[in-house]
Order: sequence, then structure tokens, then C-alpha cells
Amino acid sequence: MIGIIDIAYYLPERRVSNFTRAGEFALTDSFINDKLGVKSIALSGEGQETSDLCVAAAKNLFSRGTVNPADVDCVVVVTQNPDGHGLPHTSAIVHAKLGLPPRCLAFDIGLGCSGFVAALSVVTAAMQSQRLRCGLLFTADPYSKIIDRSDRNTALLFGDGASVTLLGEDPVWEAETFDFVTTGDKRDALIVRDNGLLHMNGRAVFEFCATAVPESIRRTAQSNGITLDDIDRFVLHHGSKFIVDTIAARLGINGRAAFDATDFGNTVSSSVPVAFARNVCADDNTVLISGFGVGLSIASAILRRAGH
Amino acid sequence: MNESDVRSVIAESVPGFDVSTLGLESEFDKSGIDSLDHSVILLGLQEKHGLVVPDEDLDQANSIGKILAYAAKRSG
Repeated sequence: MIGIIDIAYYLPERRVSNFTRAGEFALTDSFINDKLGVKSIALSGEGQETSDLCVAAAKNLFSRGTVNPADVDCVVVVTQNPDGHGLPHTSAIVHAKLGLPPRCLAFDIGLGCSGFVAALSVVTAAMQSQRLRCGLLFTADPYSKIIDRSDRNTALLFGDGASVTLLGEDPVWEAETFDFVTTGDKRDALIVRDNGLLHMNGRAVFEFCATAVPESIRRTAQSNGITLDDIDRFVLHHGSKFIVDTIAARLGINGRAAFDATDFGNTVSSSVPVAFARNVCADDNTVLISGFGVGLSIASAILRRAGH
Repeated sequence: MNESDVRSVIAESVPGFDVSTLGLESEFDKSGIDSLDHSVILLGLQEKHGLVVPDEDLDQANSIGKILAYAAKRSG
């Protein structure tokens, strides 16, 4: 069975403190600490492209010795902010920059915050059916390309980052039944407008997260034959501390769904794999992952440690 | 829906906030209730009392008194 062998990530070193900009937006320090939960955001360096973020994450993975780059036969990049104009696909650029072998499937997936979880379903299924053995699933969606720096709804929230998930046989983590939601009629709540900048209807996004995400999580547990009490850790998309805390309170799972993006911000599709890599520990055997946002959409799944 | 119902929703929606400090006409954003808290209050009113306040009417629902008036207008 194809599953997750390892996850690595990369966060740019450059940071901008939100406290230095709080006055600009008439926000209090307590709002930044307790609601946003983001004290500083990570920003890509000058000229650092989406593919460069992926390459940096891959180098972190390769340095661990868990994969031989010559064995990679599948490369997928989840992004809505690709290199250049999106043609050629960023996965082909990453493929070239990493010097990967030519017998390799490479494609991009155009999803936002639900993208990692949804792509995990798509890529593991494709690898399983075509007997691909060594996949690299990247996420990199540098919103610094589309953020309006004068917009109080988004300017202090989103940070840049990337992740890479090594997929293959004999995995450490296996996923079974996924849960997917798309409410296309609410797509305007997160949208890049004609000026090329992101617009977010914070209230609409919040209501969607507070109502539809707990439902998705409950369905996911049920369809996998477990209860919420059986789940050791919940890795939820780090939309903001307020959203994570709200979902946790509504599900009664406080203490098992920590927010951990204080120093770099909401990294969109990278937030779930980054949080997973940073927080899941040896005692965790059953982990729920849920990504939600652009679309508006949700993808949720249970990951079980192999052998448990 | 009466004043007590609205105060109850506010108390549940904004933990730690002393709802007794709010007068009928106290505007939320000037009383320590931020925009995120306001969103939670509106969601609570929708879930518990069926009151739906569209985005374009937000300024008609930023105090207890305005919420009661808005609800009366919608039901009338």
C-alpha cells in the first residue's frame, strides 16, 4: 500500500513582525496573540520562486537519507501561485531543478488550503494504480505574490513556505477513507480579483470553517470506523488561531489540536504537512488531518501509523 | 427573541467578556468586541434563533438594541 514515509518542509528565513504593523491596522497586541495567533510572517526572498521553495524543502528531505532522488517516479506540486504564468507546470520545473529521472509523472494540482489532504488521496491512488514506487508530493503557495499589503484581513495572516511528502510502499502512515466538501457557491469568499490581489470575506470563511469543518471531521471519523476519542492528534489547517480554537471547542477536542504557526503564518496548502511534521510525535498512532479554505472546500482524512 | 436571548448568545460567543457592561445601544466595536467576536455572535444568533444577517446589513446588527430591532423587522 502506498502511504507517507516522511515529511520535510522549508520556511524562508525572512520574517516581518506583525507587532510592528499592528498600529497601521488599528489592531491590539492581544488580537495578534489571541485571535490571529501569528506574531510574524515568513516571506520568500527576492527572486525566490515557488519552485525554489519546493527545492529547498526537497533538499531538507534528501539530507535525511530516506530517499534516493534517482528513484523518484512521481512529482506533484500543489499550488495556485505557480512559477511564472503556470505554463510550464511548476512540477516540471522542480523536476528539472532537482535533476530527477525522465521516467517520471509530473503534474500540478490547483487547490489551496485543502490541497495537501486532497492531493494525498489523488497521488496515492495514481501511484497505486500505475505501480509508481517513489512519489514526492510538494505544497508551495507563496501568497506574498498576491497579498495586498494594505489589507487588514490578509496582510498579517499569510506566510510563505513549502513542504514535501515522500510517498511509497512500506509507509509509516496510511490513509483510508477521505472526506471531501466543495461549496462552489461560496467561492467568492476567497478570490484573486482582477487587480491580481487576494480578497477574503473573513466572516464567510469563518462561518464555513466553524460549521462545515466540524461536520467533515465527524464524518471522517465515522467513515473510518472510529470516534473522536480514538484520535490522538488533530492536525487542522492553520487558518488562524481563532479558527483552530473555534473548531476545537465545537468538537470538544481542546488540547489535541494545537495551533503552531506563530512564527511564520498561514502557509495555505503547506500548513497541514508542516504542522504534521512539527507536532506529531512517537506516541501518536491515529491522526486526523483536515485542510479547508479556497473553493470553499474541505478535505479530511485519518492517518494511521502502520501496524496500529 | 428577547434581550436576554441576545445577551446569552454574546456571553457564549465571547468567553470572558462581561456582557452586563453592554448597554442596549453600546456598539460592539467600541465596547471590546472585535470583528471576529462579532462574527461568532452572528453565527450564534443564526444557529440558536434563526436570525440571518447578510454582510450588507452588518451595521444594523452591531449592538443589542439594533439586533432586536433587526430581528423584529425581519419577522414583521
